[in-house]
Amino acid sequence: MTSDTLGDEAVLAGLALNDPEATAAFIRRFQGKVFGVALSLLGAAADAEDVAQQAFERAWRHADMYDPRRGSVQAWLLTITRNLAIDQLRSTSRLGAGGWDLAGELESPALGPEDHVLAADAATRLRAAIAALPPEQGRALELAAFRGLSAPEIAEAEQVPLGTAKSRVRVAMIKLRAALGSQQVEP
Amino acid sequence: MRAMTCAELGDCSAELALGVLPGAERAGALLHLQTCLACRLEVQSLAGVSDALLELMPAADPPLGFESRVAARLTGARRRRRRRWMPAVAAAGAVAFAAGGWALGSATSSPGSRSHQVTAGVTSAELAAGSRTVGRVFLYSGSPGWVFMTVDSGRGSGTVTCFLTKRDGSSVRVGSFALAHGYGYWGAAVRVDPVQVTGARLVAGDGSVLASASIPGL
Repeated sequence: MTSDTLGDEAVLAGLALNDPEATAAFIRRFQGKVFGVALSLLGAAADAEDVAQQAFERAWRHADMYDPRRGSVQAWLLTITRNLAIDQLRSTSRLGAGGWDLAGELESPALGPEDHVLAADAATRLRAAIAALPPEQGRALELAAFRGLSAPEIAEAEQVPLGTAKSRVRVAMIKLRAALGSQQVEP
Repeated sequence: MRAMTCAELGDCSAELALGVLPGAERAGALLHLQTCLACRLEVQSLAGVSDALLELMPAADPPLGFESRVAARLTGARRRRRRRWMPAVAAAGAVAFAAGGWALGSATSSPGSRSHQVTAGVTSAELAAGSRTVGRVFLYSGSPGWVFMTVDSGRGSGTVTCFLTKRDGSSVRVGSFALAHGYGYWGAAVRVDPVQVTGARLVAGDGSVLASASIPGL
């Protein structure tokens, strides 16, 4: 079979029930994305593998927490991965480390549409919106979304008032939401 | 702890959606969201952006042997959990549920337009209330076999009970779960041979049948 042909939620359910076939299918289906996110955030393959393994174990332990109304299984699993990677960065005091380029990290010419739940045109719009963000908004978004920094931490890192840091994150997110929601208009 | 106002929530909705709102503020925000649908929808839509950002990140091939190492890690974790839970589980005679429950929504990859689907070892069928589709039920013939279902009927709250119908016409009660405003998802290991199952029924507390499914043979 078989489990490879099931929907993501069904495979997650099988994982939680310790079904070996569903477990294998779950790992195979998501390992590339999970490892990719961990590698992008951590940089080192050994660290990324450790976090990716933890992410799968956490998904198994907390499968009952997954709520399909809040997003896809992949998004849920990648959020787990991101949070674990951020914990790892915090534990090694690398949280605010610079040299990370948001637009560059999200721009991957090698990516095919099969790599995303996100529709190709939505991904294109999102990338364009990220590239169009003013640098200070892009940095604030990067620090929050991929470094897990709170607004007070961003304010400190960027040497700006708290209200400014909060506003930058909020405005950036609203711009990206508008880009995701916009439809291409026929000329 | 004071619930936030709509204006306060609006100022920090993006941080909440990104999961970076500090604890005290987060608690106030969550209190507000319990009673404000508009703000809940706002945060939900921003959470969609957060999800999209992660999904935009490139995939990468993990090191050789990654899949087997993860499988081994899960096997070890399951053994530890089983050892810890075994006394209670044995007493309850519910070994198949040692994982502690699970959740399921509508299977996005399942063919929603078809009334049923069979793959080797798995079968699924629409749950219908009259002529209206209100969910889907899946039956798996592994060891143990299990059933899971998602329901979204749009109305009604309370505990419902799942019965499976066997080929000989008898019914087996599998378990109960809660519906909130018509929504719920649930699963359980089944003690009956899944091959013998021909249907499923969801029964309300007053005995009325809320929905039923005709399950194709495995």
